[in-house]
Amino acid sequence: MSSLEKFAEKSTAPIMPTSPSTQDGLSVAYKQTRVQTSEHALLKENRIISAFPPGKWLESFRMLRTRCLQSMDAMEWKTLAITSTHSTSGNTLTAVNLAISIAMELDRTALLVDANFVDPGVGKLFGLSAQTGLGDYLLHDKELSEILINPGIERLVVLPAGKPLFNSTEMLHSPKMVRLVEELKSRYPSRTIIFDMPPLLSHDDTLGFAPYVDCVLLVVEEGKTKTEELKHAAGLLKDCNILGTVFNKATDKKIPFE
Amino acid sequence: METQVLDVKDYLKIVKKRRKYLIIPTVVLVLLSIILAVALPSVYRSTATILIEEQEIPSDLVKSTVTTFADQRIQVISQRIMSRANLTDIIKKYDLYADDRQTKTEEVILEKMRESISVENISADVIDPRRGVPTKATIAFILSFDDKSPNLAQKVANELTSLFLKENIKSRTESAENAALFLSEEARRLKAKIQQLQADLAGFKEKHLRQLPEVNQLNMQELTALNNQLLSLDSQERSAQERRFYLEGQLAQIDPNAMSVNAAGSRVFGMRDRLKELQSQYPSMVARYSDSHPDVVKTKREIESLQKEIGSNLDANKINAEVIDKKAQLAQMLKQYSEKHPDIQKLQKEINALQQTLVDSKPSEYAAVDLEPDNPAYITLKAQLEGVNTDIKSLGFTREEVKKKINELRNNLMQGPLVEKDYMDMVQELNNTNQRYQEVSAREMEAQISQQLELEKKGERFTLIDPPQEPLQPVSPNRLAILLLGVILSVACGIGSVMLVEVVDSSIHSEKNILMIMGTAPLATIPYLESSAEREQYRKRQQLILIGAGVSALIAALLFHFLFMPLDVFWYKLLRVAGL
Repeated sequence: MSSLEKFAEKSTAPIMPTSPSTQDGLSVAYKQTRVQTSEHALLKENRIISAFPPGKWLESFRMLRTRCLQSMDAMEWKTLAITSTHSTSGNTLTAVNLAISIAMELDRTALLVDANFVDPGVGKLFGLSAQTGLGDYLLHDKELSEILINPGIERLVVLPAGKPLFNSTEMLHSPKMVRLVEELKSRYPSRTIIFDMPPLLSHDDTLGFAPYVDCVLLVVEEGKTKTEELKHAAGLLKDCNILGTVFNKATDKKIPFE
Repeated sequence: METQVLDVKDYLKIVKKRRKYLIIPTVVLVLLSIILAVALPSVYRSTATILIEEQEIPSDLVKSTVTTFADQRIQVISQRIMSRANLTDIIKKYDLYADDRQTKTEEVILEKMRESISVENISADVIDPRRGVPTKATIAFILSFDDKSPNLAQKVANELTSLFLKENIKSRTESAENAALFLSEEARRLKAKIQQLQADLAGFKEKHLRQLPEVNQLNMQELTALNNQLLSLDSQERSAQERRFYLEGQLAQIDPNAMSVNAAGSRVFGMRDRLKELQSQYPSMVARYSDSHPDVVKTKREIESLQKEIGSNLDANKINAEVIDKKAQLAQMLKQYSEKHPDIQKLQKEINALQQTLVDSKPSEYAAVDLEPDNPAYITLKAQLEGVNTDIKSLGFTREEVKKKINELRNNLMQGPLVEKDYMDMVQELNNTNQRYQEVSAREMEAQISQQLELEKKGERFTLIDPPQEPLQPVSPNRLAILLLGVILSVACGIGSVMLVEVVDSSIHSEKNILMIMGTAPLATIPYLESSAEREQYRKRQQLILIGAGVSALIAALLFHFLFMPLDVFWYKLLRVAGL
């Protein structure tokens, strides 16, 4: 199939719930998934790349996506946990933007799971008014289909965290969660699942959950992340696959808001 | 930190990131150095060059008693000049450090003044004329004084210079004088000692005149002569003795009273002879006649009267000899005749009478009677004997004298070595002292000449060749250098503080750090997306900082103006510094 046909199919395909197919070119129909389209202004305010025209900033996320996918494809990895050493390093934003970039690929779908029960942020960034989330699924056996949300971007599904949990670590450890990860991984062959995790050093959630994902991506914030912290984090994750790092908020080529 | 290779871009990035740490210290320090360069008070230096001139008269002819090196003397003089009293006088005279004297202690001010005075030697490479070795010799020195006022600097330098010159002359003259004085005192002392020694030696000589080593030879000769004399005396005495024996023999054979013979050849009897004859006839008469016989009576009376007249000259020996003679005759006759023979009877009677006479004669009656010898031969012999006896006596006396003298000489000779030791010691000491006296007096003469040399200022002397001038340019501070160094130092401080912050801050600032830590470069670098609100906030902060900086600069300028130095003055000074 030529790229022209793919483009035509993508552009013509209605956002309709269709059965997932393994054929070339994905036209995802969200039968059960709720669609909540976010406001453009809010997305822009929250620095979500889908609100920006192609530019330098977008390119850097595309670069990140390509490199991540290349590595993951080579190892046949599907799940990726994104974490950082401390809380303000732009962990969640990176996860969201990476997920959007992946979803931009015509033949891939992305599932963004907000596993940060300490300070859930994915929903806020999209401006989603979701009352239920992963916590409800784990605790109250809510149907996954009721929780998943499509934020108005093709091939991207978001699993919000829901309300903050006090026993988040135990929840992330639970057999149900493990089963969920396995299920999500195996259900769609071309789906990449991204987990947004709490900071590695201040909470043990990430460390406990890391063995259940294929690889971990570390977000490093310029000027804030300390050398020792990064070393410590790398040491903690030495048994896991570290996909790599992202150097975030680089002041070298600051990009002003338009 | 691990070895990380930083390129220029990284440095620029660091500087850009930490510009705050670079700019603030740099600006502050640059300002401070400008203020320092402009505000430091000028110090003026007035200098005098003083030449050290060698003595005019060659030192081979006249040696100076001042032999210390010029450097040393300069040091000594400067110490004297910088004494408390001197400096205090100068400070009072020129009213130096008027401000400081209000607040600071005298010690501090004196120390400040000492620091302002400097003595710098000028040396030249010369060849030592005596040893031919190249050495460094001080040929001149520079005396300088620093002060804030050029006029005062010159005045004080002048004062110090004249003090220096004066002190040099004073110390040289004093030194020469002291040397001369000491030497003359020493010479006087030695002279007194020599006199004392000479007196002692004279006394000693007088006391041991005969035992001195000089007279030893003489003593020996004399001893030999005396010994010879003694030998000759012995032989003389022996011959005199022989002569005496001979004379005595002769004399014994001669009757001192030999009868005189008259012209007819018959003997003339003296009263004594008459008495002797009568006495000799008397026994035979008695033998022949009875006592009452007139002849006998007559003879007896004659004898008695003669005896009364001249005293008895009865010589017991003679009578005895006659008795023995008679007895011998008697014995002779008895061989031929019997005892009844009249001759024998007569002889018997004569012997009896003689014996009677011998018994009767009392020495008291006759001993006193001295008969003058009248025999000329006897008298001659007697006189000769007497002469010989006198000779012997005189020889004995002489011999005693000679012996005494020999003993004395021997004694002297034996004591000689003992005396010689003491004598030699004394002579030696006298000689030594004499020698020293000569040396000292020669030196004394030299010292006096040297003293004259100093008094007439013909010795080594300090000549002022360049009197202190009023300085036109300050010697310090070097404002341009301070400014330049200050700027360099400020920049260095800024860079240093940046480096310090960079070292202390361990946070990650570039992909390279990540590469270093993780071993791989980050997958991607997400640039900072600056929102408009953030930019607005940043701009506002910048403005605030600028305003704050302006206000504080104004306040600082005002403070500087009122507390330290009016700004217009500062400005003119700054212009002058810049114009330098």
